[in-house]
Amino acid sequence: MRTTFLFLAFALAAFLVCSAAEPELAVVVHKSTTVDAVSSGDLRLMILGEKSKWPDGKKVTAIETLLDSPERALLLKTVCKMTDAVLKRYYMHAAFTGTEISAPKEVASSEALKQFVARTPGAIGCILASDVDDTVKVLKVDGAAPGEAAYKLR
Amino acid sequence: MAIPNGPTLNIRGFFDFNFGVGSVANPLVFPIVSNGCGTCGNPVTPPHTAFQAGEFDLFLTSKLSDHLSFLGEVVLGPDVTNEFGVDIERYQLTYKANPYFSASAGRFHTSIGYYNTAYHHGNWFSTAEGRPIMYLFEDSGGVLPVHMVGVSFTGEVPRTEKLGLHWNAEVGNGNTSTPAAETSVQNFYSDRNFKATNLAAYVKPQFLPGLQLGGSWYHDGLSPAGLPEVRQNIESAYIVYFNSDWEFLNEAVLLSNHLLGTTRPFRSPMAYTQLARKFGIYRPYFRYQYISDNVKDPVNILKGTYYGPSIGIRVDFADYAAFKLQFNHLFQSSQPAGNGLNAQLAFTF
Repeated sequence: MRTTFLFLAFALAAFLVCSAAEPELAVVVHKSTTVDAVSSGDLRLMILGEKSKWPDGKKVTAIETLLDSPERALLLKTVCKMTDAVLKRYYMHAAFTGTEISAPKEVASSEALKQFVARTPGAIGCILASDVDDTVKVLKVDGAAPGEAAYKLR
Repeated sequence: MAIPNGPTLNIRGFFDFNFGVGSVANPLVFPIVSNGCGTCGNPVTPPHTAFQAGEFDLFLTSKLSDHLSFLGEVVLGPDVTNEFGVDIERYQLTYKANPYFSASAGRFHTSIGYYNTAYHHGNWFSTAEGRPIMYLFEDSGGVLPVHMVGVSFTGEVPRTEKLGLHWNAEVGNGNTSTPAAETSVQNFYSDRNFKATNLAAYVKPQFLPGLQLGGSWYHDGLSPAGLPEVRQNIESAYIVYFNSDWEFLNEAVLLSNHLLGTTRPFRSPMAYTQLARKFGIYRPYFRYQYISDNVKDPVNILKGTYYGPSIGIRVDFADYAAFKLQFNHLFQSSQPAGNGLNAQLAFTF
């Protein structure tokens, strides 16, 4: 009984430590953006270029960092749910079928992404939650903010 | 020639090269038909072993303004005469006012079902080597009007974001009224005043990214020589699902040709299912298809019943090139069942 209790306590502690250590992706937007939250479905559509307008009519400008960055890897896994090769083919196929979608603009680093979002109304991008500062606004995703247990972008 | 501050023309190419063995290996000419009666007249498709060029496809796009864009597809390909022919398979100028309304004019793939608008002339995009028989191009013996010359309107339905509801409406020249015409698609001259119309809709629900369900209804009036007027209806329904690993396509189409003054239409049901699973760079797949074109239908060029499996594997050995190997077995009501094995290199450049 005591061994079982100790085992469960150890497992719980290990789980909490591992969860805490997982990097989280924060969804950042220009400070003038009128929404405070976005659904994971809408976020995916914006990043994939299928949703081009915010509710107030402003144009969505999606930004992403370069392929080798940890932010990009998390974005592909948790938001796009595609590998990079599949994503490239997705954009090409959209063009081939006459569907006009815009791939995200690419910037060199999360700092560059933050600067772009900070000066571009309608811009949206994803950076590591640890890189967020007060130049950008962070959106909740599916009702949860980075750091909360229910937050899924990790 | 670059136009200062003007639109830029982007060109992307697609090509496939094949080696086929057997009577039903060739994905483009499959099977060969001529005005047979279905069970007594179609010539037997001879087995063949040949290296074959597929379609050399030049895909052109240009953005003329924030709202205006152009798309074109020029295809060069050989046929059984060994001559290369040139076809302008698609050309469309599109004005996109907003996500809810865009209008296109030109020649496009009719929004019947899913496969016809998802896959065009670049074989690299499709998992399998060739189109399902029901979606064969008109000049390959296909019975459906897969191309239309006219106008197309499409968009999202407002306030249905969670459902992802889209609509589509098209008006244009349907296919020629003469089944044996050399060119079925009426690019320049229409043999009748009646225009074909097509209405389609589909949903892409957010709760399951990759799922799409849809349907369409096509209506046209044909005037075949020596016959009463024909009212043609084509209904389609489909459900498809894609994710990073799986691909599952299911479609059904019912083609009805009703000669005015007769009691019942000639009905031709068609369907296929296709399943593929990705294992790294390997993607094995299976397709089963069925098409039954009423042998008494005076409008259809393809007559008889065809069904059978295709099994293959696609290997994405490079980001923009793939090798495919596919075996086809096809029961054909007009002749003995056919077998074929085709190897294909498909790539984009």
